[in-house]
Amino acid sequence: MRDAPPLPRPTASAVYPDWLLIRSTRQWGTLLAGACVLAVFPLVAGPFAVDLANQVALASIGALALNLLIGSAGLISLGHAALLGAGAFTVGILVQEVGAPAWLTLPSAALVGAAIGIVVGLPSLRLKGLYLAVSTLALHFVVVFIGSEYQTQHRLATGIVVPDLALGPLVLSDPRAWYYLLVGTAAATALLCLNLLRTRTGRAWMALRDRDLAAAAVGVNLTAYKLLAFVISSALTSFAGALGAYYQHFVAIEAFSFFLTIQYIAMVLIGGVGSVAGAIVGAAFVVALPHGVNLALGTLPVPPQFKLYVFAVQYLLFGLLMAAFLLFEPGGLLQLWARAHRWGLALHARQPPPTCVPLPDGRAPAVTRSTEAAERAPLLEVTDLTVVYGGLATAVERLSLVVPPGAIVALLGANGAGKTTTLRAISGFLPAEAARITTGAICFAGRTLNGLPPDHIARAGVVLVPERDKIFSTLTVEQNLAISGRHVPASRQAILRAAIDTYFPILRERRRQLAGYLSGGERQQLALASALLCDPRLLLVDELSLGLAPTLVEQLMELLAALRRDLDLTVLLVEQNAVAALAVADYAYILATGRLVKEGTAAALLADPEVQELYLGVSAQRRSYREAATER
Amino acid sequence: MQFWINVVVLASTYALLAAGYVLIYRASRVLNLAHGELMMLSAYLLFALAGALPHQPLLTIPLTLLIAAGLGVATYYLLIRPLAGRPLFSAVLVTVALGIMLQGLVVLVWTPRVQYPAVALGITNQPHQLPGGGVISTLDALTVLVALALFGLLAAFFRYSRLGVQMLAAAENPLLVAQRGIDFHRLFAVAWGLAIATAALAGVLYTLTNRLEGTVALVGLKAFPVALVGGLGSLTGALPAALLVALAEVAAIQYVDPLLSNVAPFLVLLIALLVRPWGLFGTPEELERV
Repeated sequence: MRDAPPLPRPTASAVYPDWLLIRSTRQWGTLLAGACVLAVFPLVAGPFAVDLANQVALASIGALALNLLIGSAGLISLGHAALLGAGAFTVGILVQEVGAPAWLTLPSAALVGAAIGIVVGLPSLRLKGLYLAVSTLALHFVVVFIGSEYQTQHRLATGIVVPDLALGPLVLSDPRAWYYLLVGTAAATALLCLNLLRTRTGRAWMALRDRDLAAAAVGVNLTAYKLLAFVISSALTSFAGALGAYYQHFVAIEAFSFFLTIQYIAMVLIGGVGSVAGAIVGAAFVVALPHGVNLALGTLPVPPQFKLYVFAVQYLLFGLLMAAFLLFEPGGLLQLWARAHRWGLALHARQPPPTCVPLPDGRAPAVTRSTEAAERAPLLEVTDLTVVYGGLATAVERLSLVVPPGAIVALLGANGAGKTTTLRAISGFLPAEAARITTGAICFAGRTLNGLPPDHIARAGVVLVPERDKIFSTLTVEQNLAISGRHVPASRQAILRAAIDTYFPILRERRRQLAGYLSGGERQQLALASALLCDPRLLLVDELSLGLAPTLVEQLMELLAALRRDLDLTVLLVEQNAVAALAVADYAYILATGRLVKEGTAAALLADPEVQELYLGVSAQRRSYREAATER
Repeated sequence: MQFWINVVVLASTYALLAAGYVLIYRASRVLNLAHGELMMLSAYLLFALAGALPHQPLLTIPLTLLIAAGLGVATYYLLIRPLAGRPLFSAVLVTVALGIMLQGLVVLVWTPRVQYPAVALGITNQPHQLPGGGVISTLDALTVLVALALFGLLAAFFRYSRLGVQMLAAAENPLLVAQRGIDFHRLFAVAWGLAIATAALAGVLYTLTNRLEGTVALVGLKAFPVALVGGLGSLTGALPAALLVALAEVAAIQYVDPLLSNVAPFLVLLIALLVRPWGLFGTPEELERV
C-alpha cells in the first residue's frame, strides 16, 4: 500500500487560532488575486457576460442558503422556489400597494422568509427525517396559489413591475453597479455560511446531519437547531428572491415553478453537498447550462423536436445530471476535480480484496491453542479484522479468532468492546450501517465472506441471532418460522422442523399469536428456532442472556449445547454474561475496546484470577475492567 | 348526489396512487416523488401501444401494466438500491431527478400536445343515470371498482401469500430477512414493481376518462398527501384518507375557488402534520423510522 498523499504544509507557524479562516500567506495571495479579478471583470467584460455573472451571484445566494440546509443540517426543502417567490412577492406587493422603498422591502422579505421558516418548520421539524421535505412541498403549492390569486385579483396577469433598486441616493440601473452589489452580497453570504459552520451551531448541525440520535445523545436540542437552520436558510432565500425581483424589474408567479426548486437542488448536488465553494460552482454551472444547451442544439445534428422543446431537453439534462452526481459522485464537481488531480494516486491506492488462503494442512495459524478441537481445520477464521464506523470510529481493531467445527466459542467483553460489531461484520451487515471492514479477512469453510451480501452469507450456512429486533413482531409465530429456510432442501427441513417441535414446544402452542406479544424468553426461543430452520453450520448468537432471568439463561444455554450435539452445529456466542457463556463454551476470547485482550479454554479462563475478578464477579470488591486497566 | 359521486371517483384514483406510495415507503423507506411521472409515462406507453395495436384495450392495457411493473423494478435496482447507506435525502432527491427526467422525455417523444388515449383505444365512455339522481360514466364506475378490487387483492396478498408475508417481514426488518437467507432487494424490487403497476392502472384509468398531457403527473403528486394522511406505512389508512382528501378537494373547487384544486390536498397534509403526523392508521412509533 502506498502512503497517503502528503498534507499541504502550512507556511507560517504551525498553530493557528481556531477562528482564522485564512491561515497562510498563500491563501491570502489567492484571495487577493481572486478579488482583483472579480473587481476588474465588469470593466473589461461585455454586457452579456456581466449579466451572466450577476445571475450566477444571485443564484449563489440561494444555493448557499439551500446548501446550509442540505449540506450542513442534512435536511431537504422542496420549497425553495416558494421561498424565493415569497421574497419576490413581498417586494412586488409592497411596491404595488404602498410604493415601499428598498430599505423597507428587502428586510421585510427576509423577515417573511424567516416567518415562513418558523411556521412550516415547527410542525415538521419536531419529527425526524423527511417531514420537512413533505411540508415544504405543500408550501410550494400554497405560495403558488397565493401568488396567482394576487395576480388575478389585481389584474396583473403578466406580473408586477418593480422599479430600479434605490438604496438612499444610490440607484442601481446599470448592470455593472448590480454586479458589485450582487457579488458583494454573495461573498458576504459565503462568509456568513463559512462562519456559521465553525460555530457551536454549525457543529451541532453537522452532528444532526451525521446521526440524529447520536446528536441527541450528546445533548443537542434537535428541534431547536433544525429550526434555526431552516429559518436562517429561509430568510436568506427570500432575501435572494427579493434581490432577484429588483434585478429582473419584474415579479410573476410563473417564474417560481417546481423546476426552479429542482434547479437549486441541482446546484447543491452538482457543486458538492455541504461545501460553500461547491454551492457557488454549482450555481455557475446551472446558470451556464441552458446557454450551453442552446449552443449545442444550434451546432449538433439533433432531431427537430429537440430544438422545438428546449425546455424538455433541459429537464432531461437536469434529471440526468442530478441522478449521475447522486449515484456516482456525491461530492459533486469539487470532488470530481480533486479526484482528477489525484488520478494517478487513486489508481494505485485501491487495495485488492483479501482472499482466503487455504492453510497447508488445515491448521490454524501459529497461535497457541490447547483444545483438541482447535487442532482441526477451523470452520470460521477471522484474521486481522478492523472495522471502522462512518469513517471515524474504530470499533474493532486487528482482531483474529478461530472457531473450530463443532465447538462453542464465546466472545466476551463489556459493552462497547466490539463484540456485536464482529458478529455483524461476519454476517455482512456492515454496509447497511455505514461501517466498513478496513483490514482483514473472514473465511468460512474456505470461502471469503468479506463483501458478500448478508443473504448469501446466511445461505452459505452462517446465521445470526441478533441482539435486538430478532423476530418479526408484526407476523405470527407461524409466519416467522415460515420465512426461514426457503433455501434448505425439503428432507433436511423436515428434520429441523422435528427438532424444533421437540426443543421449543411453546412455539407450537403459540403459533397463531403475533410474535410481538411473546415474552422475552419466548422471543429468544422463536429467534433461535427461526435461525435453526435456516440450517446453519455456524450459528452466531448475540447476547442470548440479554434481559432474561438467570434460570432462563441457564436453560437456554443448555438448550444450545444440546442443539449443537443433535444438529451438528458450531456456535459463536457473544455474551456480557461471562459466567453463563463459559458454562457451555469450549473456548473463549475476551475483547476490550475493540482489541483482543485474552483468550483460552473455558476451564483455563474460569481458573484465571484476573478473569475471575473482572468478568466473573468473584472478587469481593467488584471493579470495572477499565478501572483495573488504568491502575496497572 | 353528484357531489358525492365526484368525491368517490376522485378518491378511487387517489387510493390507487396512494397504495403505490405506501408500498414503496414500506419497502424502502423512500418517498417516491417520481410517482406521478411514472404514472404519466405509463399512460403515454399505453397511448403508444394503442397506436401500434389500435382498438385492443384488453391486450394493450395489461401489457402497459407489465411494462410499468418492469419500470418499477428497474427504478429500484438502478436508482434506489445503489444509494443504500447514504444520507436519507439522497434517495428522495434521486426520485426528484427521475421525475424531471421523465417530464422532459415525455415531451421529446410525444410532444406537449394533449392526447386522447380513449380514442386511440376505441373506448367510448357512456354516462349512466344512478337511482339517487347522479350520473357516473362507465370508466369512472370502473375506476371505483378497480380501486376496491385492488385493495382487496393487496390485503389478501399480504395475508396469505408467501411473497406477501416475506414483504411484510422485509418492511419490518430487512436485515433480519437477509439473515433468513432471503435477498430483501428482490422483495423491495417486487414492491416497486407492484407500486408502479398500480400507478399505471390509475394513470390509464385517469387519462382514459380525462386526457393525457404532462400535467397529469400532478395528479400523482396530489395523491402523496393521501398516503401521508392515511399513515405512510398503512394500506388500510389510504382508503379513508383518499375519501377525506378528495372531499376537501371537490368541496374547495365547488364552493371556494377552482384554483384551490392543486392546493387542497396539500392543505389537508399540512393540517395532518400539525394534529396527527403519523396519519389516521399509523402509530406514533412509526415516525421514528421516517
